[in-house]
Amino acid sequence: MTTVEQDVRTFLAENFSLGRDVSHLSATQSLTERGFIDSVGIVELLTFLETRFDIQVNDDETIPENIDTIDNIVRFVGAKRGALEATARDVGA
Amino acid sequence: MTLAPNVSMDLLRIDPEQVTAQIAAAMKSAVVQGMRKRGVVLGLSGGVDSSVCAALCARALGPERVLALLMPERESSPDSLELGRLAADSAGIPVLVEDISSVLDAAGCYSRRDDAIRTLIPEYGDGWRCKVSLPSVVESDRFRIFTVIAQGPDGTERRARVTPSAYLEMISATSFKQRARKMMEYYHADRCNYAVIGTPNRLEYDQGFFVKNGDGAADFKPIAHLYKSQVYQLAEYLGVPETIRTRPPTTDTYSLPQTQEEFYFSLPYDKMDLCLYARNNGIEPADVAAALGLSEQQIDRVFRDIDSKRRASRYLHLEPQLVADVDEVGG
Repeated sequence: MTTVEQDVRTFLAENFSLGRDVSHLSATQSLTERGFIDSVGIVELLTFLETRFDIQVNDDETIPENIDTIDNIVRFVGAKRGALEATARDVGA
Repeated sequence: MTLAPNVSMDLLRIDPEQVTAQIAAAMKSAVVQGMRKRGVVLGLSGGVDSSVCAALCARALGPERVLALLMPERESSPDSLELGRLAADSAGIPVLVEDISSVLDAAGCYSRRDDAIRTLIPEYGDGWRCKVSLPSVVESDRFRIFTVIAQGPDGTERRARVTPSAYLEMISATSFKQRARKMMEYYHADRCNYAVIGTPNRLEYDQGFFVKNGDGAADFKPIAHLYKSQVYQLAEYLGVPETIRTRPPTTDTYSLPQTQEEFYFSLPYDKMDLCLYARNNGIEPADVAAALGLSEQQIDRVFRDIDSKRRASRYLHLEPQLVADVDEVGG
């Protein structure tokens, strides 16, 4: 399990499962369709991702393909951080 | 609107005379026999739902047993008061005006909300107006996250995505409006030994477009089973003034003008009605899409949004939960 996935699972457990373990939650399972998180939860998740991983999530990126499953979140955060690092390298070069 | 031959707005057509008689009988039975009350109180917003309810109450119980309350506050549209009076006059029922601005001031409705907005838009202050807005369901697959839109005295517009704490504070502070109105309705109801009428239509009731213990609270809800387009059919039959029938539905909750579509529902009410009817009756998205001139993918999104709102509003409909049944109560 990646650090990002571990951090996301810890966030989900602490905020949406009264601290109970969420290891049963499949990484490909929709977080919204079964009601694990609601619309307020999505806002909380976005705030968490932006502060924990130091990324900026644009409005047009708030789509299920990016943030509706743990797998999608891990992929999305990885891509955002990769883009940030590439920009930093370009600026440095 | 162009509609497919088998799925059309005709599915929502009612016999207004028969529906009026059914509602009047149910209201009389519930209020007079069931609750032992002498009449009803209802808040009139100037919208079509409360205006239809007023006319139904007058038919069911007689206009002298109905009391209409107009409850403006300082951010209400002036139209609301005028249209509310028009609806009451048209139904022949007495009216009282209760300005709730001072109640809201005392509760901190405006100041708490404004403090929350300032965490997002620091320059928000005196003379500024605001509203909240959601992205369109039909235009993209984006999650429906609120954006606060504020307009300064010089017309400058600022937008900011909500944070969890600002969102919750804004919504809970603003809900003082609906709860203050309901408190006033129950005051007059108790004073007159009346019951309180709730005015949601089926879209609002099903999709949770109400404040718990605010406009969601009532003793009898005469049109909660009717789609909004059916309410309009009743409005015409009952002689609700045309000015009210042709006014676009608004929330009249925020200081900037805001449609219900912008705040909550994903489509105009007639299209939303047909989608909800289709979802409730197992009609395929493709058939609805053809009828409404939208794509199947767009209807799929609307259906998902309907399901999501139903899940979210389950709490709003819940009665207080007990640890064990108390069988002696409520029979």
